[in-house]
Order: sequence, then C-alpha cells, then structure tokens
Amino acid sequence: MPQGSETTAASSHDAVHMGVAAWAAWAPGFADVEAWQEWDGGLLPADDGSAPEVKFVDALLRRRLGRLTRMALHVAHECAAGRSPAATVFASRHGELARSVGLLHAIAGGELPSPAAFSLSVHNTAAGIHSIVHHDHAPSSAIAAGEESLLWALVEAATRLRDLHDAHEAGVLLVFADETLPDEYAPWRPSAEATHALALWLVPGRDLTLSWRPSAEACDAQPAPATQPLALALLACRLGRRPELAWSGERLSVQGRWHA
Amino acid sequence: MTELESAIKELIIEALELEDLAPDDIVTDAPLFGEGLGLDSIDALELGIALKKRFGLELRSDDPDLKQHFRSVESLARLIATRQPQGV
Repeated sequence: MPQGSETTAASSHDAVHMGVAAWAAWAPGFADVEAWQEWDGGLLPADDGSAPEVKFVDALLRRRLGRLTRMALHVAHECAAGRSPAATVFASRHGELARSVGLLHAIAGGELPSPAAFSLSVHNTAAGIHSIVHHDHAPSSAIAAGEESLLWALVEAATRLRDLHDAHEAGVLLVFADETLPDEYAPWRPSAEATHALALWLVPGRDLTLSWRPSAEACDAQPAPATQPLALALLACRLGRRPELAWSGERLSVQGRWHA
Repeated sequence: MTELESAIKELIIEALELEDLAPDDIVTDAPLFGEGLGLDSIDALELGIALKKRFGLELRSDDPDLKQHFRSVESLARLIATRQPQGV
C-alpha cells in the first residue's frame, strides 16, 4: 500500500513534505535564476561584499538596512512576485550579527549604542521590514536553529500549510538568509560558511520531501562537519546538480528530494 | 543660515545616514519629522544621541517641550544656543 505508507511517513516526526510553487535565491555574483543555472552546485566564489539593491523599498527606510536584511527582502520580493502569503517564515542561523558586533563595540567603548542599529539587529528585522514594505499583515515567525535553521523553518512552514483553509489561493513564504561571520567570531567560523539567501513559495504538495535523523546514527564514524550550508545543498538538488539531497551536519543528517 | 544651523544639518545627514542629501537640501525652518524631511521616531532617538555626543545636549523624555525642540533645525539650534550661551 504505497499510499498508506506515504501517509505514515509524512505524519511521523522526522519527515516533512510540501509543494514549491516558486523559488528565488541570491548570493554575491548570483543575482537571478539565470546566474544560478550556471552554478555547478559546489563552493560559491569568495564573498565580494555586494548586496542586492532592493529599490522597491522606500529610500528613507532603505538607507539603514543591513546586507542580511537586504538579501532576505530581495529574495522574498522576487519569490512572492506581488502575491500575499498566508504566513511568512523567516530564518537565519546568525541574523544581523555584524550589527550586533557594532553595538557591542559601542557599549565596550563606553558610548551610547545606536537606537537605529539596535532596532535593526533583532532576529525578526527582515520579517518586520518585509511586513512594513508590503503592507503584509500575515502571521510571521523568525527562526534561528543552528546549522539546521532552514530545516526547522521548513517544518514550521509545513505546520502553517496544514492550517491553510484555501490551499488553492494561499501559500507560505519561507525566507532564509545568512552571512559569513564577522572577524570577531573567526575562531568559531563554521566549515560550511557562505553568504546566501533562499526564498520558497510553499503550497500543499510533494515537490520537496525531507527526512532527518541524528548524525551519530547515520554514520558509524564521528560525524564530519557539513561541507555546504543546507540551503545551497537543497538548491543544488533543485537545479539537478545532484539527484538527491544527502546533507550531514554536526547534529542531524537530512535526506530528501526537490523535484521541479 | 548660522554656523550652528549648518553644523546641525551636517550632523543630521551623518547620524541618520542621509548621504543622498546636502546640508542645503534641509530647509532650516521646515519640519524634520512626519512631513517635511520625513524622519521617524527611530531617527528622533538617533538624533538625540548624536546631539548629546556633538553638543553635550542633555534631553529629558519628560520635557513637555521636547517635541517643539525637535520640530526643525531652527528650533534645535535655538535650544542648543540657549543651553550653551557661549556659542559653539
């Protein structure tokens, strides 16, 4: 009974599935879908510090935005393409860490920290600005969950999808963005670090299926650090660079597929 | 435009990341918040800190005249001049 076994897998605690109606991604040197088509699925080029322009944001609001927020707003805008989501899920492992470091330096130096920098350093900065820019009143979550932040954002989005009343109209907008760490955190730099952002317009369906288990169970040897962030491993799967997702982090191993 | 008013305009541009503007773009007696320049409440906080750093201006949030003081470059200049009669 394939149908029955699928249902069982989907309702268990270690698997999730959903449809992906649209996606958008950004990284330095990868401004649009055409650029990603040229990507070989491997390491991204060195971070050149560039940022998306986000011209759709009012200039007075735009002037203060940090790069991570610009990246998140950019992919969200591209992916949603004017549609209003039923819910938004924003995720990042480290958030606007560069801004927090600036605030900490000010405090350590005995200066008053900047209120504008503080207001834009919180983990729901991108979610809040997105809501203001698009007059979007949909419920929103901001998730940070270590190197598996994208995985748990997808679980959150799947939960939101289950609550949708009109599956044909609405979707859930998931936005993930991360930056390379500021130099102050160099000793803790993750092995699979990259500046990148990914947005997914999620609907009920099975385009994307993921399952996971503790890395210690998945391999006999000591779990090795991930060689690529989960979002990029997933994107490589979508672009056909790899037939299946097989990502392994320090805590969890994630398997799955993302078909067009 | 007095020297003090000019210094306040430069401070506004620098502290509030308004690099697209020149000091002359800010009208001395025009509203800074809402209409006019269109600054918001976060700008007000940021500007308060910048004024404290640059001019040693101490502001109290329970000052009933605070909103009037922050109305324009002109009113800020008047406040600073009152607090520092020797000039800047």
